[in-house]
Amino acid sequence: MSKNKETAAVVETEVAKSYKGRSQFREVMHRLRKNKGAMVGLFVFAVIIIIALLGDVLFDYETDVIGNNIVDRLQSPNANHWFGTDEMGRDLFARVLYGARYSLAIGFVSTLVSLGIGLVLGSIAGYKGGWVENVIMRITDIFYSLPSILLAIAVVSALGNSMLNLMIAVGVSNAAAFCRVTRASVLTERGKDYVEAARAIGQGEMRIVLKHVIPNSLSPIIVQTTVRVAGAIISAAGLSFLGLGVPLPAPEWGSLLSMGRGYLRDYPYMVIAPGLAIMITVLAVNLFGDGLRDAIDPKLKK
Amino acid sequence: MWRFILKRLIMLIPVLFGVALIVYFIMDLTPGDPAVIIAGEDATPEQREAIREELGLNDPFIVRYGRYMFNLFRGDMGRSMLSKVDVFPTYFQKLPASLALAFGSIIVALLLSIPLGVLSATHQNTWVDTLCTIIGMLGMSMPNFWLGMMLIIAFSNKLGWFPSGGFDGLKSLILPSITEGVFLLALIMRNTRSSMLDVIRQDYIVTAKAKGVNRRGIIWHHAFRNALIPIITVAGMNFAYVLCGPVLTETVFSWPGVGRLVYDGITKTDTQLVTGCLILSCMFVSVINLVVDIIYAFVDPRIKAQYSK
Repeated sequence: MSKNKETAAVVETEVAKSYKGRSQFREVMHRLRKNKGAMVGLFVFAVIIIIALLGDVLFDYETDVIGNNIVDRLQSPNANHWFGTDEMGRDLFARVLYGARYSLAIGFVSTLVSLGIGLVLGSIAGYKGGWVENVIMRITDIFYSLPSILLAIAVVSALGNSMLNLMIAVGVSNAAAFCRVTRASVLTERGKDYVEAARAIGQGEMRIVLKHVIPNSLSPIIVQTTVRVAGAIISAAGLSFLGLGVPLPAPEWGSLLSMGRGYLRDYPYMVIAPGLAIMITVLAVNLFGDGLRDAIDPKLKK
Repeated sequence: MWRFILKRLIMLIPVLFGVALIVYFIMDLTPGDPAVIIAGEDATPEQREAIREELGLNDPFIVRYGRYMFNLFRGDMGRSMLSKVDVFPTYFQKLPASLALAFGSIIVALLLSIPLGVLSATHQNTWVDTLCTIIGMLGMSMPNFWLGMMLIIAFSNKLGWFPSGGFDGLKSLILPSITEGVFLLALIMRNTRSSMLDVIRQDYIVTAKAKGVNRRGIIWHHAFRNALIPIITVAGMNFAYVLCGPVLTETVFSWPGVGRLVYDGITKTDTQLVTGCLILSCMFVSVINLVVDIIYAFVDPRIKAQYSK
């Protein structure tokens, strides 16, 4: 009997030890590492980031990426030109790989723009409540009811064609979603005891929001962020496809597709590689995002 | 119920004011002088000034906006600056093509997504489930305008089965519908799967099983009806977007729809046309959202009970 008690005590301390020092962050990372899809996504995404960073080392922008070479125009994929060449004789392999930097930069920066706007407005709305919340959320509703691609087109055409403006346009058109998610999340945290406790010991409003409420409301916002990065990459490619994105001759994937569109009948190679590049990038982000969502909230995992 | 519908319709009014304000403001920032657009490049400064006066372009922003809203409530959305045709008929002339595309893509999406989603949930962790998950993942990650071009290459250029563009009968509708529907297909399929998985684990399903209800009866009669609500939400919300924003699909297939109309308007700084079309589109979005809410009530008696309070 006493031996049983002893073993029970040993087991208890062992269990306590294994949980001790294991923060929520490490729990999430642990679950994430076990998710194969998420790890594949992360790996592929890391490779794409490396390609984007090494673009200038691998290729010379002036000659390889935008330099014309009419003699070699419209070649099918071969040993010299793995993805073939375009109507100016430019190597599509170089152009597609070099193009990674535009899509990644736009994906990240525009999501940061929407995150910034959404986080500030959403947490003010959720924490303050009352008429402030009403005003912010009604404005959010209005933005939500505008189709985001049309909103982005309007913003780009108002600001002019440039990469920065494209980022702003995509960012603004997605901000409403962040605002809603943040508000909902802050709203549930606001009523909890620890907020009351922080107020009771006399902490300032600003401090409570920044140090306590926002960190505790982050999970759905992080999940939303990965979803939006994927969406932003697709929207940006779409806008470039319409001629409203990164100005030519930069080999942004959407612009490559738009150029290839003129040759669909006779030379379909021009649209295959850039489209696959977009799809693989977005797929990697989505796989990672799905894994992250399951890791942060295991209840959602099916 | 009727009071609820009426309330929702009244709530629409401030949203439309807001939409008009935002669109008006953004289009106001757009470079390019409407007077030049209307009169042409070689008009004299006097002619341009006359046009500005005539259209009231010299008035402050808020006056122009106020005038626009005043006219709107009299049913006058102004005239397109370029074609000089009233905005209202222009929009409705393009609407049938967009409606056809929207219905086409919703049909493609629903016909495939719901059976696949249910199949995936009832065969969880088998190869069927894995295959469906992969299809869902690819569908979510593919830029649809690219898919459109791939379909054109395969089915109209190589095989010659379908036309590569234009709106001309049912045959021309198939490729654009698939293009526009694939994302929705993936989205609804994933939602159906997780929604079904939620429901399948509930006690009443176990009870039904214990009572000896056959498998088909359990899945379609007990589980699926209860899994429908989140599915309707996603489908309804996205139907509105398919109706208003398929600019890319319409571009790829030279589709004469509303998305293309608005895009042309934006790039040519046709403020009147763009503002009018976006307001009409938002009205559609809101009305569709309202219809979705009403459909809920029919599917879920609990929600109906809330309304009648």
